[in-house]
Amino acid sequence: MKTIRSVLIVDDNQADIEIASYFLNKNGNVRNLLVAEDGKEALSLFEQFQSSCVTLNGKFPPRVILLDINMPKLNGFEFLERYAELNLDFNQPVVILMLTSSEFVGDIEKADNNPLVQGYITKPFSREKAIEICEKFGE
Amino acid sequence: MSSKARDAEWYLSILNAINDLILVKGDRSKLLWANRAFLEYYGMTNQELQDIIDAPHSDPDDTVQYVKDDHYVFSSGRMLDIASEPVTNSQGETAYFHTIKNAIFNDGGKVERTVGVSRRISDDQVIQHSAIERSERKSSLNELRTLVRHLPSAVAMLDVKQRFLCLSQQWSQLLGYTGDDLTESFFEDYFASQLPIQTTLEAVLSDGVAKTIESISILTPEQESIIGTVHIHPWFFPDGAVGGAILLIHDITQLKQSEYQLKRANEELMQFNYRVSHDLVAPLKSIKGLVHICQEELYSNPEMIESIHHKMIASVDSLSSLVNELFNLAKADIQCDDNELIEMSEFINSLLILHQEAMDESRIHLHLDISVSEILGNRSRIRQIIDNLLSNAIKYYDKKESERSIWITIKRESANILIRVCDNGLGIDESIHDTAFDMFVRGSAQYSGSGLGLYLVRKHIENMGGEYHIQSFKKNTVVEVSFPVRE
Repeated sequence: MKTIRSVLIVDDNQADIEIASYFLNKNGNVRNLLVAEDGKEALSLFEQFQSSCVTLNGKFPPRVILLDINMPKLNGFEFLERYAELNLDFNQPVVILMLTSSEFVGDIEKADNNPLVQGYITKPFSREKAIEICEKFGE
Repeated sequence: MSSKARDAEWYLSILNAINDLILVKGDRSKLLWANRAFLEYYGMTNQELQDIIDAPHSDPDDTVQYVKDDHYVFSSGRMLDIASEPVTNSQGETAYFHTIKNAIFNDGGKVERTVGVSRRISDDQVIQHSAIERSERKSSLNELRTLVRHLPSAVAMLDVKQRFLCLSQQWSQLLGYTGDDLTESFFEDYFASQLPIQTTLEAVLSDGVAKTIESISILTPEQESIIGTVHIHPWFFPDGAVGGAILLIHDITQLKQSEYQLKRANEELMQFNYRVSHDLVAPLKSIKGLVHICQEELYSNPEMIESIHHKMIASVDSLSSLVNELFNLAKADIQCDDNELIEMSEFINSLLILHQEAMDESRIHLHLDISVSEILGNRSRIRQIIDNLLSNAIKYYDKKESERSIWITIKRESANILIRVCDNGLGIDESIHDTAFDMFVRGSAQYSGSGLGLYLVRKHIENMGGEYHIQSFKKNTVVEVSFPVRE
């Protein structure tokens, strides 16, 4: 199975973080797992990278971001807006996948229309999803 | 005498020798000059000519017609042949004249004056016919004025030159006018700045087609802004010519406010529906994911199951808490406000008992400052307000803080009861300063609640006619609510 160097999970729900982490570790092939508890924290990681190249010992930037929508301080869509403004250019493109409980048509369309988003996964995260992501975006 | 001066006097003597009435007017039927025949007919001196448009006994309803005719000649530049028009002299006697009115142009080709020449009619038949027409016109005009005057709406009737013929009491009330009678005064001189409808009014008078301005901001003399819909309808003489316009104002301020409130309520409801659907489903999906993990690890890693088990319970609790809050929210809007006398000491003690264990567990010291012995109010609402504020303060304590405290103050401040809950816990993030009391707003991921606690407090306070705000957001978060004292 292909390997993904680093995955960033952006979610405020501890149970969902644990579920995604579990399946990525067990059934995927992910070397590093990073967690941000809301959009603001996630954005801060990218801002630190932009200003002072903070790579967290090579774990950053992530290859894949699993991004929740409904989070306090900065929700998923707000994060995407602010992330786009950073205009970061990475050697390897960062893949952003929405990971959310929302099956609201408006959210799905909004994600679909955002050029930064490459997939929409409804929770709970699963073994099959972990395998699919590694095959598609791993090396 | 210079030839220039002689020429002027010479022409003047010719005009004054003519028996026909000659009248020169400017814009808005402003009287500029009249010949001797005119002055003699009206019994006017030159001075009086300067002061008034018509003789003291002139019939104001006839003036409406003059103004209409002057306006036509002045605005079109065309000649107008009036076969018969009534003119009332200084003794109040009315005679009929054949009048021709014509425009006088300046060098630029623009009309700057009009001149009218009137010859008295002696034909009895014509006079009789004209008298009947005049009577009909006066009668219909009078009926219209009477109607307008008594309408229970803000209505004004103007002639074609935009002078007031009459207006309703409501008009004066709405626009805050308390001055003298406005009959024959120009609309533009009194209400143009308050009611900016000039362009539309002129269009209606010109093409005789009614128009409506849907939503216009009207300033009252007290500088208050009201929103109105203005209907401008032309009214017509029996011969079909536009006689003027009727202005009707509907005050829709209340309607607009209601529309705004309804729109906000709908937006809130849509957001509520979205969040509730999401927040009810999210814990269930988490539980499902955790169950999948359990299936994987049940036999190979039973120690993990216990940790997963706790997380499942947490998800169930989260769901249960949300359902409970939703139930309380529903009650907040519909419950009746039965007031009772609440003895504060016993009331607070019964509340604190429920939170004592949580406070002991988190080693939080509670400081009470209650200077009101009794409150007349809705027990259930006040209980939920204090309960939610205290609950938040307990839940979001700062683990790094060694001296954890909560201060509750309940006191009377002039006509209000003030409840203040202060804590030195995690604080509230500045990003939600303005939205802390909105629904589904949580301070941070560390806030495990539904995000409805402060919203519920807000609902109760709004129903009680009170106010709420957060005074500080970092350490020492202070949430204050107040509501009117009931006697």
